[in-house]
Amino acid sequence: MIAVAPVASSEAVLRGELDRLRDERDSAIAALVDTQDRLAAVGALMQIPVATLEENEVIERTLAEALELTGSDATRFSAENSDIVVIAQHYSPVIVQELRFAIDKKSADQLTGTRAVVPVPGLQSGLLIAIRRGKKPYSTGDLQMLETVAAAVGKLRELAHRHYDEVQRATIEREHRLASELAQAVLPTSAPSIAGLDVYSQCVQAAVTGGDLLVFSVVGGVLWFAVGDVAGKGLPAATVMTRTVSALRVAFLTSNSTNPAGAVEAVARELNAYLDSAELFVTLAVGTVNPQEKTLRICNAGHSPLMYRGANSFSCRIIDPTCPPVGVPFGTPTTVELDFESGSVLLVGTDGLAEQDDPQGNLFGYERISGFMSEQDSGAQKIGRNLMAAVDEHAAGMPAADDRTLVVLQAVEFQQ
Amino acid sequence: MKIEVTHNDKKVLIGLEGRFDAHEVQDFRSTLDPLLESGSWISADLSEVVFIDSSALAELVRARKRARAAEGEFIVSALSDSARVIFELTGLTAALTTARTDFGQ
Repeated sequence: MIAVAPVASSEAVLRGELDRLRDERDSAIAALVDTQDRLAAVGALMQIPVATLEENEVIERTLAEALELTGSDATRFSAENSDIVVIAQHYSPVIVQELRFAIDKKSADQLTGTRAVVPVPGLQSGLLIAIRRGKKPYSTGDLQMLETVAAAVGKLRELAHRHYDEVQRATIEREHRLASELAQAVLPTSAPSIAGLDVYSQCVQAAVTGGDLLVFSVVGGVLWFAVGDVAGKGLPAATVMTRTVSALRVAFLTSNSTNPAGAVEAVARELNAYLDSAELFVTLAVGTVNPQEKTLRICNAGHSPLMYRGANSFSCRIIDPTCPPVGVPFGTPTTVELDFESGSVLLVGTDGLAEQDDPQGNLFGYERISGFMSEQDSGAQKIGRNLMAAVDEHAAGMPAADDRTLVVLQAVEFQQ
Repeated sequence: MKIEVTHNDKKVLIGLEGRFDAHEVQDFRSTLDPLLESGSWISADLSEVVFIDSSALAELVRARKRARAAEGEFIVSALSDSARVIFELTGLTAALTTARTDFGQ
């Protein structure tokens, strides 16, 4: 007798085993696909463009990746001054509303689902919340993934914040630089032309504007000039500089050309309160030259270098200040009167010349400047150009520490 | 720049050493402002200052103004040679080294 039943039973067992293996294969494939999806989501998380997004956009993108990474249907980032929710978009409006309600109410009770909460490292009161529809709870692996996302949210948010601060700082710096450059527009671009005088003038701004100023005006055949330096650098110095230039122009028109000290007093009256509130001062050398009278009159309010060499003289004289800079109410401005016969030279610079250092830290100094005054046959142009070139050469590629301004006046034969 | 603060009875001595320029102004201000607000008699010793620029001079003028606003005083009591040259060139020697005659009376 042939036994048939065991064959059928074996076949059934084999079929059952086959089905089980197929199920396992499908589960393995599903797990593999899920792992691949998560890897792709982790990759996407790392590629969020922090530099081009606002802080909230960075968080939203991270929360969206967290949906994929953790199989969640809604995620929420909650911290002081920040509360952002992202909900999966493939649901109907009714379910989206349910998910929003569930994550807003900090409970998934209204929903058939589960909820997970992890702290955001390094962020006080920072939480990452996720909810998932259905009965499948968050696994240990899901929770570890949520913790990873929470850490990423914290870091990406900080990066976005720092990037924003950096952009803000760069914007302010650019605007300050632009404003400082615009302020320079008040300065003359060329030396004035007046019979009986050879005039060299140059003003070179440092990378961070130093507040140097230079003003010329010819009033009734007399040359008025002023060279000054606002203490400090950047936009505050540039702003004070423009006000000082305006005050000087008015003073040139309203003051007696035989007494430049009067112009300094007028500028001080105009600016003292302003300078007091700005906590700055302005060094000023203000003078007049009347080529017909062959006379130089000058008032030094704390300015240097200011050097004079008379006609037929080989030595130069430093014209000392008679009062401190404008903005320091101490002492009285006084006018010094000097012969300005043909061949006489006056040099007025700013401290950016003397204080330029070389790569070893040695300053150019005042003695080197005075050396350019002692050559008898040098005209104003030659003295000016040579001195500026020498300061450049001394710097040997070092950046200009301050603005460099130089005016050289030389009396020449007066021809009407 | 090295800044050393020494309290001596009701007076405060500020010793400065090194370069005093625009980069050092903020540190100097942070050290000095609490003392200025208290109306102290403050004396700054610049004998070890190797370089001083106009930003630093403006800071000294500011300190003097603030000290007097708080009914205190701020003076520069000693100068290195390089600092002395700059003080003379800017006409600030008398303005910053002369104390109020009525202080403490």
